[in-house]
Amino acid sequence: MISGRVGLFFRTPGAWFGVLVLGLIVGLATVGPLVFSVDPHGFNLTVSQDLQAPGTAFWFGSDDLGRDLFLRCVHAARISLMVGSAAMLVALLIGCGIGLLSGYVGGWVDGILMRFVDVLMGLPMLMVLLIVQAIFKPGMESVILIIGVSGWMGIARLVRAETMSLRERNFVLVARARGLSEWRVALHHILPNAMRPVLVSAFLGIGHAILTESVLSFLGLGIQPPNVSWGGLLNNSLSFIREAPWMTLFPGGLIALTIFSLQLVGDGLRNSLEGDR
Amino acid sequence: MRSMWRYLLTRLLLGIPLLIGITAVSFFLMKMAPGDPLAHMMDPSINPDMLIQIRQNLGLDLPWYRQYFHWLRALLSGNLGYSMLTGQSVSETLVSRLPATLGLSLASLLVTLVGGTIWGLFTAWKSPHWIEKSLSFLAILCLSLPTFWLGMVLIIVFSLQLDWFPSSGMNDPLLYGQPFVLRWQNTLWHAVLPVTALSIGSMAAISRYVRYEAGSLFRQPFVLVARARGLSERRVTYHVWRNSLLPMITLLGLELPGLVSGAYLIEYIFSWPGMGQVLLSAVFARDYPVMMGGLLMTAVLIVLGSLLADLLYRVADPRIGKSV
Repeated sequence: MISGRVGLFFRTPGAWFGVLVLGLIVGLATVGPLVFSVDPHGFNLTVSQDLQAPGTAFWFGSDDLGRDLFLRCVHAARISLMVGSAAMLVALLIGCGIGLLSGYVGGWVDGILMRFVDVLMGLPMLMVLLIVQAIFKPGMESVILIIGVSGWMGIARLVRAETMSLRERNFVLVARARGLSEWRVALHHILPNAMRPVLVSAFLGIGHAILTESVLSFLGLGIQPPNVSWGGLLNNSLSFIREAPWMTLFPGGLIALTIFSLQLVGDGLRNSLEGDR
Repeated sequence: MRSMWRYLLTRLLLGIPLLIGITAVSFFLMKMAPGDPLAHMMDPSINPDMLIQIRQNLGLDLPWYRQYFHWLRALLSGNLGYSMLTGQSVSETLVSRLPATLGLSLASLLVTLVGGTIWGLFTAWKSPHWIEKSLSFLAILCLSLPTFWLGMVLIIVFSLQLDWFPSSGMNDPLLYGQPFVLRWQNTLWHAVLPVTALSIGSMAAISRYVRYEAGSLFRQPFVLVARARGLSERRVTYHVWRNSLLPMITLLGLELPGLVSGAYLIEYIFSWPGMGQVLLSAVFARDYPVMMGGLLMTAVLIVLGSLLADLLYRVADPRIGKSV
């Protein structure tokens, strides 16, 4: 059984590549800042080290203040991954709550909640987020919160659909016939069974959250210095795009690579979960 | 035909509460915002009495809901207020920027549709082959590229290194007063990189979809019937294509909000003189009237766009119109 699933996972094209790259990036994010303990935010006052091209001294080159871009990327990895996962967790909580409520209770509650979801999904969310961030003080908590609060709709729809089909199944009827409370049935019997497809989509959602965070930080409305994420590293890269293209290429490339491998692993997970259905 | 008009009217009426909701919420958020918009444009040494006077003149001393109703009333006569930075009319600024945004978005939509369909059908057609595998792999890669970063990479490669395309703007100021055709050509030239950056991601999404859809459609009974009737493989592919088109319209409608947000970022990167550029600079400067007006305009565009997608869906599948 287990080996069958794992087999299905690794038979998905590129899944092993995704696992490898993702492992490397996560490993670098957790261990990296300990190994490369130089203060990556410290300014380098020797002017000659500004905007150095990638080479043996600076693997990824240096930025306009003479800071080592590789070190900054390693430290930023931690923040990007953390903010992305935390935001997804928020979205998962809200999405499961609303989806379960909507699917289990049904009726007019379902009607109102789903119309609300439709409205939210029709919004240019990124622009709304930018405006909200411009109005309130940007910071790590607020970034996590607003990305989570704005990204739960897809999960809610999935949980709702699963709940509606599970609600009519025999084991749920048995649980209710045993006199268990509605809360217990919904939380202990329906939710765990509805989670399977949701987890894959949540996994892929991490990539989306990382992307959203990077846009906010790129425009200076996300994570604020001295903390920096990959998007934040891109913040002033547009002004130096002629002199120092590496300031654009490396942090953005890491974002793309992370999302790419998340996608590959997600596809593999989906295949292995659907395979034995 | 009559049911079509009734449907259109209902959809439009349903859009109104959505728009009112958006404006009310964003207005409320802005009023809760810390920081005074006046602080941006006033000399710090100004006489406090004068500041109060200015506040009264601008209506900023009223409670937020009254300010909102003032704004809404003005909106009904086509007035979105005035920029706090430049004093220009918001609606005039946005409307003057609309063609650039629409041009960019529609061009990308066209490229996305045509390119994505060809990509997807070609992948499905090449099915058990290494070309198919690498094309699907490429689609996942393209889906993962952040649009704004892709724009910057395109600038680095095709504008700064190879010098093939211009990196910013919509046309060459030196061509002012030159023949129309020449200026048009120039604009097209400027549009190549932004449109590419904007289309690649959604093109990959569409291609994945078409590939999946076409793959399962080829196993449908109607394909068997078509083949049994002796239709050529090309006719059969045409039938499959027409049927995969239908759900694609829905997909496009769903992608629309993201596409618009992406277009605004691309406008910022390429200094494309559209609404996104105005909206983003307003966000940076906390120019509330422009922010609100821009968001509202964007929401209207999206409502109209998804309405159009719905209508297309009804044209493509006449069964839907009859049941409602």
